[in-house]
Amino acid sequence: MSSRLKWFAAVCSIWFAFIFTLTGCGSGNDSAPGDLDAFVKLFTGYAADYEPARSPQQLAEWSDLVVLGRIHSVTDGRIHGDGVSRSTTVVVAVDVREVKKGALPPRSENRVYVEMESSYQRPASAYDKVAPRDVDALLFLTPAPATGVPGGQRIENPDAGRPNGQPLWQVTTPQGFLVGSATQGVFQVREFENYPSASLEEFFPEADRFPPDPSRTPET
Amino acid sequence: MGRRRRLCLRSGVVVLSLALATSGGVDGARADVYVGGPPNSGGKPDNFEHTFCWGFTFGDADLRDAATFAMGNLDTQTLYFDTGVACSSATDVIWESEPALGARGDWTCLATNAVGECERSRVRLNPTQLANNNNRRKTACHEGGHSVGLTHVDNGDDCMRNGAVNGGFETYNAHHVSHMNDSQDSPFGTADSIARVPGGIRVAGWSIDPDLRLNANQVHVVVDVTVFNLGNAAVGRPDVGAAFPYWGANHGFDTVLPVTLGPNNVCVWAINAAGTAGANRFLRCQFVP
Repeated sequence: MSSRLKWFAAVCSIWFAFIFTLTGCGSGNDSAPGDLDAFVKLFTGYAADYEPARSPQQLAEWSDLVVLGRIHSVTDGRIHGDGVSRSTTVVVAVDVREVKKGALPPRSENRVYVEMESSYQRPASAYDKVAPRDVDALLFLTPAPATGVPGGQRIENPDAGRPNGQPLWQVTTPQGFLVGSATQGVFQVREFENYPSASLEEFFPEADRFPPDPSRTPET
Repeated sequence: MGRRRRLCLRSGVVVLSLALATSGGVDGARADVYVGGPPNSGGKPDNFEHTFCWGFTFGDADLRDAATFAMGNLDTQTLYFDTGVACSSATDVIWESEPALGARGDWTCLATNAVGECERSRVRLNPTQLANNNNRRKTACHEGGHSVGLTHVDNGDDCMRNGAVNGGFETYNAHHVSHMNDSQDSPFGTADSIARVPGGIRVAGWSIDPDLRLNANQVHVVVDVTVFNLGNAAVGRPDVGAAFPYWGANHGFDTVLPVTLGPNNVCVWAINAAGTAGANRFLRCQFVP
């Protein structure tokens, strides 16, 4: 290699190192704080008609498990249905710090696995990339059906999304997935609601009413 | 590289240029409580033609009755036009049944078009939580509302409230009807026929710009790399008038382009009315031997 070529290679190496540092490419930082706004936005494209609980207390009564913890990861989950209505799900793994109601399953290693519909067939990696791992999450849960039920959609890969033997959970209603941030208040993720002046404690199972929601725009 | 592939590539460049030059980021820029964000919101569909079908699990007669009612009501109350079709990747709403669902019903957008509008969605109804015909219709109306962008709201006799009902709540209130009718800005339509005929290539179809009620929008045709302006799509089309009475029948186009040397790649575009919101829309491309 000529000295001119060596000089060119060295300049290129420095340049690429600079660009990678600038863009964060290749950092592989699994404990990055994530982006709460971006995470919540990923759940748009899904909406449900459900019986709304009047209070955290009632939501807890309807739930088998209520946990407080932090998101560990988001992975690809089960696939529901066939043909053009085939849809993907993602599984949010949550490291549990405190059980508010119920009991963790055996050998859970203090982690629960929660199935969520993934609108627009987004891959789990999109959620995992921005998952807010530095803030607390409060989840009101019921068991997700282990397999497809008669009259319902087929489940292609019933064991996906969690370690062998661990159950899959689902949020009791869309009100039951809450993330609290010191600066942004509480997000009710599946309802796309933000309670900017609330704290997660106000949603604990003993609360007999939800905090007022000043962000809701009245219909005009 | 074959001639046909070269033609397609060249035409693709022109088509892409046309799209980029005219889209202007208008779609997706609407920011109100109707669509695209909090609170719990549906997705803006790609146009006023709202096709639906029964999925593999949707055999229950009571659920089908409720879904038929909901789609018919959307057609009756709003400018949306419902059409029952065989399920395909372009069906706007695929209805399914799911007794294991942790809700009365839900809606999921499964695919979007190039500008982020929902092109294919799935609605699931949970027969175990829908006690009677009133509640089946209410939830079918509710999920149909999400499929055209509506949010949850508890405001008057309107199906977009959450939970069980005891009579009523099977239709939309005036506020929601207004949102839905104002939801589309870009032109839509189709090119029914693109074929070689004596003297050239015949291009026929129809196009409506929602912002122009009884007036017509322009249609452009790109043949390989040459753009032909067909002028306003204003030919009488009684079938279009029957489907979209609000805009009337005069939205057709039917022209023979003087292109005799083939083969050609032909792409048809509906042009958004000048000075109105929206973007040009691709209707159809076809290779003409």
